[in-house]
Amino acid sequence: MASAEPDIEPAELRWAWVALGSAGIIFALTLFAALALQRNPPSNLERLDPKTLHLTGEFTEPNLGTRVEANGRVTTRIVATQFAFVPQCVVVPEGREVTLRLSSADVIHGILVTGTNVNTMVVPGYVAQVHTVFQHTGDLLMPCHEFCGLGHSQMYARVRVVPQNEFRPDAQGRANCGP
Amino acid sequence: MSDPILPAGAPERLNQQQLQALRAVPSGAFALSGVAVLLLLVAWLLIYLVLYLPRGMVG
Repeated sequence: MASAEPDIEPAELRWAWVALGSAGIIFALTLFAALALQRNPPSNLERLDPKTLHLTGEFTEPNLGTRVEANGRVTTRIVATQFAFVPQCVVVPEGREVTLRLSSADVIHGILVTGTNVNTMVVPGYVAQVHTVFQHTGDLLMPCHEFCGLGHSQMYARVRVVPQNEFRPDAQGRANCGP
Repeated sequence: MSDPILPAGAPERLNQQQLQALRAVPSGAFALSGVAVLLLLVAWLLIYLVLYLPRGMVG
């Protein structure tokens, strides 16, 4: 049987290039964002005991919320529980790198901050860490986006982004949402 | 010995008309798939450039 392959094959090859090219463009742009623009999925691996979060270590109550460390870094610590984030409101400065550190006391939660790329799971036994720079001021919503039980839909915190001149930590470096 | 491609009872050789039909590249199919892939690529690029990049650094 005479073959029609010599005509079909170049067309299929061209199409293969189109398909590979499309995937290649997307892959290259993703790689560019990761390497040049520091856009990476959060992948911190740090373990702690979820049963004693409130008793010892980094996530005890006086340590929660936003704090400017001695080296000038802004770190916000939040505990996720069923069914509230503690603290429910945090204040962060605009235009400065902020490190969000979260841990869960019970089940798997997740957070995202609206209008930003902040999005991570909060797994009991581990610390979730995300670095970001908030570009705009305002009150952002931080809902729990991983089903955690009956109260999941009511579980959210507020992230208040204030201009740098309004971000006034106290003597210990702590900043609160205020009244 | 039966030809694995041709069904039983088919002629041994194809005539010119059948050969011509087989040779035609399915350009309509390529056009349709091309438009579909292009639209998807444009949609991806729009979301990447207009939504994802402006939302700032995360790491």
